[in-house]
Amino acid sequence: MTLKGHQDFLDSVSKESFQIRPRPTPPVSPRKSKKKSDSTKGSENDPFYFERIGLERLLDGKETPEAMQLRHWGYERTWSQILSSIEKSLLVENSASFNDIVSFVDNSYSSIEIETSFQAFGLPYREIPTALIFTGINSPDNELLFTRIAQRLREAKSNYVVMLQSKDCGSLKMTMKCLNEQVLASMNDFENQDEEMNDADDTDEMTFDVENDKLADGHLQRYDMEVLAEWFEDKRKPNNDDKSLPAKIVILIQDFEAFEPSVLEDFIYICSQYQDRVKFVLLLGIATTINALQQALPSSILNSLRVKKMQLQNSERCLGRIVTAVQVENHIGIKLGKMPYKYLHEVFLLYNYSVSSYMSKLQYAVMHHFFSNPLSILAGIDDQELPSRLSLLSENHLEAIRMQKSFMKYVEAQLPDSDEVRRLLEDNAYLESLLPVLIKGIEQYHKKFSIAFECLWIIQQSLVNCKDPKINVDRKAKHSLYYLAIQEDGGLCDAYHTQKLLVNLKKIDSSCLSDLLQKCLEFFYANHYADPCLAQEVSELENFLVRLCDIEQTFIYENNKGEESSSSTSSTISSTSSRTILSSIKESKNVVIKFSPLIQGEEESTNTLYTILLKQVSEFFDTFFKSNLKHYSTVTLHEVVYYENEKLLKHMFSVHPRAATQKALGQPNRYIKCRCCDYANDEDDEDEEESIERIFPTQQDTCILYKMYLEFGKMINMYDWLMAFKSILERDGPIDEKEVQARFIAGVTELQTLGFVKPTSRKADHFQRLTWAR
Amino acid sequence: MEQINAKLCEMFPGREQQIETLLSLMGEPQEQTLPAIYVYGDHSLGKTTVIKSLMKLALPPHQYTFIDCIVCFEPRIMYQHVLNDLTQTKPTPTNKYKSQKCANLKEFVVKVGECCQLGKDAGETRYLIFDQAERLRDKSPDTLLPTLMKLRELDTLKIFSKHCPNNIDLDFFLSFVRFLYDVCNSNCKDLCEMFQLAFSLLPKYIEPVVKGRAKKGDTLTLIQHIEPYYRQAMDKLHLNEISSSQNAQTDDGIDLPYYTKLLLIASFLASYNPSRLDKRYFSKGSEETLRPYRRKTNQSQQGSPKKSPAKNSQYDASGGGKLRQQLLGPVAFPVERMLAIFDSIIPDSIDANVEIMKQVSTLVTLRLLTRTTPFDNLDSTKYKCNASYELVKKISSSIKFQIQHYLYDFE
Repeated sequence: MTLKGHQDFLDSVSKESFQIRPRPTPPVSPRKSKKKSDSTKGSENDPFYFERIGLERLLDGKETPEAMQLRHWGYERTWSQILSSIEKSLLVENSASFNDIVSFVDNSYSSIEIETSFQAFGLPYREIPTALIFTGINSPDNELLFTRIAQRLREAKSNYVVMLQSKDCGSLKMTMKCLNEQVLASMNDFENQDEEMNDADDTDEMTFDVENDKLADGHLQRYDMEVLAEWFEDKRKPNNDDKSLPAKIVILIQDFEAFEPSVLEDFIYICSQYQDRVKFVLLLGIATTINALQQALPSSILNSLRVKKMQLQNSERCLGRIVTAVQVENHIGIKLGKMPYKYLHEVFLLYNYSVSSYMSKLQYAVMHHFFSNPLSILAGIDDQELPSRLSLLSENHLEAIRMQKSFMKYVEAQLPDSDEVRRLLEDNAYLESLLPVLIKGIEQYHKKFSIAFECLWIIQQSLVNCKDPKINVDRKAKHSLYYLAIQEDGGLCDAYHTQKLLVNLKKIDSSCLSDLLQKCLEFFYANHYADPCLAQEVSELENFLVRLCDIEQTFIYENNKGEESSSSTSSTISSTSSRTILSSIKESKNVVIKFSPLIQGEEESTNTLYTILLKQVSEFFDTFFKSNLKHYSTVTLHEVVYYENEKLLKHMFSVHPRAATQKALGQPNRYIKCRCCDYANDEDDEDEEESIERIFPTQQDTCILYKMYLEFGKMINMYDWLMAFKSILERDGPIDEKEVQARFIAGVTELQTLGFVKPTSRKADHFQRLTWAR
Repeated sequence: MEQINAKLCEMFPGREQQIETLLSLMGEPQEQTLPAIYVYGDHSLGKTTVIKSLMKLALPPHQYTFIDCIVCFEPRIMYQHVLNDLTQTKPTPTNKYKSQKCANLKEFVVKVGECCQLGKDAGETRYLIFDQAERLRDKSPDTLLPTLMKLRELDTLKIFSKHCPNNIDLDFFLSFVRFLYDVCNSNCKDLCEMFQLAFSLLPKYIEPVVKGRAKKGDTLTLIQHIEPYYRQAMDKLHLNEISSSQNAQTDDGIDLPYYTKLLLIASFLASYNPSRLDKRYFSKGSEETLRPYRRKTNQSQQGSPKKSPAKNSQYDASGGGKLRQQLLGPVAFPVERMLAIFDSIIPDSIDANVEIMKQVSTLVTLRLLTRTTPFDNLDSTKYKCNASYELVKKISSSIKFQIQHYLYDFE
C-alpha cells in the first residue's frame, strides 16, 4: 500500500506498529552491548529511554522506573544465559563430528602416503580427499556450523580454508576467482600474524589482490589455477624456511545442492589436475543424501574423489539438547508454558527443523515475558538478589500477585483457616514475608523435577536397551518426553507412557534391574548427592541394590549348598559406606545369574523374593515420580516463570500475509488514523462489520477499489469498476476524468501486484478475481 | 628414437603398436609432419599417459605444450599457457605472475609463429597437445578450432587426445588382477574403477597369505576368501562409495520435517499420477458422492452405476505397458494441484501458511523438486518431482504412509 499522506501519516503508522511489539535484537552483538551500556548510564536523564527500548509502564502505569529497569536487565541477562547454555550444549552435540572433520583434514594426505601402493603402481592420478558432510536440510543453520568448522580448521594453522558458496559461484570463472582471492587473502592474514615475513612481500601480494581484474595484459588471469599453483609451489620452496606455513588448501562447499553441477564438475576436475602440485581437501556439505552427489557428477569425476562420509548434528537431537538446556536443567530461568512449548515443538518437528528459528521464537518469548509481565522481576534471580527485589515490590505488585490464578488456588487450599486467608488477601506485609518461600518453592520444584525427569529417562533407556521380548516400551526422545510432561494436565507422573514404563519395570530380569539401579545411583551421586532433599531416595535405592545382591547371593548359596556361605560377603557389602557400594557390587557381579520375575506360580523362594523386590522398586519409583513430576501448573506463582502467550507467538511467527493485507485494505483507519474517516471512535463492535462495507471518498484509492472488488463475481468488468470508482470519488465534488482514470489504473495495478486480480484472456475487458475469503 | 620406443613399450605394455605409430608419424624434428593426429578411444585407455611420457622422452620441453582444455576453460588462458610453454616463461610470485601477452586469436597466431622461429632449433616441429579436446568445440570464438587446425602452416602439429592410465605388474598381483578383470569385464570398462576396486580388495586378498593361512599360489582359496567383500564392492562400484577410505557409517534415510515429507510425497503423486484420476484417489467423500459425477460423464452410454467401475477397470487396462508414467518420468504439475493433494493426504487439516510455502522452496533448493516455469512468472508456477521412487517409498514408510495405495499403474 502506498501512503500518499504527509509526514504525520508515516509517524502515526510507525508508532502504531512498533510501540506494542518491539523488535527483539540479539543482545550478544557488540553494537548492542555498547548501546546498552550507554543507555544504562543515561537512563535517568533520558525521559524517552523506556519508550526507545519499547518498555511500557505496566500495572496501569504505576510501575516504578526501577522495576522497569530491572525487567529490562532481567531480559538481557536471562537471554544471554539461555543463549550461552544452548550454544554450549549444541557444541557438545557437534564436537565429535567437528573433531572427526579436523582429524580427517589433518590426516588426509598422510594416509595417502601410507598407501604408497598407489604410487608404486603408478596410478596416474591422485584422488582428492573429500569429506561428505551430511548436514540436514536446514541450510541457514548450516551456515553457522560451517563457519565454526572453518574456524576450527583455521586454528590448526596448517590449512588454508576457502569457503565457497553457491551465490558467489555462478560460473566456473567466478568460482576460480573466489578460490584464488580467498587463498591469497588468507595468506595475507597469515603474514600479518607472522611478523617474520618481510613487508615488501606483503604489499606485493596486496597490490595483486586489490588491483585485481585489470591485471596488465602481460600477466596471468586472476582466475587461472596456474596462479594458485605457482604461488603454492613458491611458498613451499625449501628456502622459504617458515615451517608453520599451511600445507593444504581446504575447500568448504557448504551447499552442494545449490551449485550448478556442471560448474562443480569442471571445478573438481581442475583441482584433480593440479593435485600433484597443490594439496586440496574438499569438504562437501550435502543436505539430502549421497544420491545427490551421484546424480550431479559423472562417474569420472566421482572417481577422482576419495570419499568419507560424516554426519553433522541430527536436528531432533539438537532440539532435545535445547529443551534439556532450557526447560529441564535450568532451574531459575524462564520457561515456556504448555501452549507456547507445543507451538514451538510442532513448528520445529512438522515444518522446518530449524534450530535458529526455534531460538528466535524462544528469544521472543523470553523478551515478551519480561516486557509484559510486571512480576517478571521475580524471575531468574538467585538467593542473594531476592531480598533486594522483594523490597522493590509495590502495593500494585502484590495486588498483581493476588490476581494470579495459581495464587488463588493456593488461597483456596488454605480455606479452612479463615484467618490465614484473610491475612493472605489483606495483609501486604504478611504476603511479602511469604514470598521468599513461594519463590524458593518454584526453584525447588524445578530441581526435583529435573532429577526425576532424568531418572525417568534412565529407566526408559535401560528398558529399551535390555531387549527382552516381554518388554514393550516405546522409545521417546527427550523433547517428546518433555512434551508429555508439559501437555498432560496430570503431569508426567500420570502419563500413560510413564505408567507403562513402570508396569514393564516389573518384568525385567535381575541383571537389567541392577544395571538400572546402578545407573540411577550414579546419576544421583554425580549431581545431587549433597542435596539433603534426596537423601532418603538415595538410601532407598542403595537398599534395593543391596537386597538384590543378597538375593543373588542366596541363590548361589542354595545352589551350591556344600560350599561356604557367601552371605557373609553380602553383609560386608551392606556395612560398607554407601559410596563404595557401587564399586563393590560391580566387582561381586562377576557371576552372572539371571532372575526373571515370577510368572506362573513357580515355587522357588528366591524368585518370589525377587518379584517382591521388583514390585517395591516399581512402587518406589511411582511415588517418587508422583511427588516430583507434577505438572508445573500445580506450583504456586508458576506464572512468574512460565510464559503462556501462545497467540502472540503464532501471530508473530506464523504469519498470514494475506490476512494482514486484507485487514489493511478493509479497515485502513486502523493503520492510518486520519480524521476524515474517523468513524471508529464512536462505534461499537457490532458496527465494525459495517464499517468495512462503508466506502469513503477520502480513503485511499486502493482501499476503495478493494471494497468494491469484494462485491464482484468471478470476473470483473473493468468499465463497471471504473464507473463505480468514479461515482465514489465524485461524492466529494466533480473531478477530472483523466485523474479518475489515472488513479484507477494505479489502484488496480496495486491490487494486481498484491495478487487479488489478474488479467485474463477469456473475456475482453475483464479481470479475474483471485481471492474469496475475507 | 629406438631407445625411446623400447622404453615406452616397457612402460606401457599392450600399447606397443600405438607408440610405434605415433613415433613414426612424428619422424625426425626437421621433417614435415601430418597436420593433426587424433588419438581417440574410450575412457582410461592410456591416451594421455602414453602421449605425455612420449613427449617428455622425445622432445625438449619447449617444443611441445600440453593443454588440458578444462583447465584452460577460457581461450585467453589457453593462449597464455601455450605461449608460456613454448617460450619457457615461468610465472612466479616474484615476477608478479608474468606471462606472455596475448589477448586474442590473431595475436596468438602471430606469436606462435614467432615462437617457432626462436632459438637454435628454429624450423623444428612444435607440438600442441589438447587433452579433453571435445571442449574446444564449445569455446567462445567460433574461429578457434579451424584456426588451430590450420596452425600447421606455422609448422606445428596438433594432437588430439583424451585421458587416463595404464597398468604395471607384479607376479602375485597379476593373478589377482586377472581374476578381477575376468569378473568385472562385463560391467566395468573403466580402468580407474578397476584400479579402485583392485586396491580396495588387495589388502583382503593378501590377508590370508600374511597370516599364513594360505600360500601365494593358492588362488582358489584366496578368491573364495574375498568373495563377500568383492560382492559388496561391486554393488557400489559405480557410485564410488567404496573408494580408498571405507566408512561403514551409512545413513541413507533423509531427515525431513513431517510436513515436508508429505509435501514431497504429494508432489511425487502429482508428478506420476494422471490428473484425471485425482478425484478417484484423493476425494475425501465416500463412493456415493462420486457416482453422480461419473454417471454424468457416461450419460451417452445409458450410465448405469455398474458401468462406471467397468470404465475404471478400463483405465487400468489401457494404462501400463511401455508408456507407463513410471517409465516416462515425472511430469510438471501446477503447485495448486500439489497443495490440494497435500491437503487431502495429511491426517488433520492445517491452515495454509508461510511455512508450507517455505518448505516448497526448500525442496527446490535441495533439488528434490524442479521448477519448470521461469522465475518471473508468479501466476502459475509449475514443478516437477525429482525424487526417486525408492526415496519416496522410504520416506513414506517412515511416516507410515501407504504410498502404494495412491499410485496409479506403478510397480
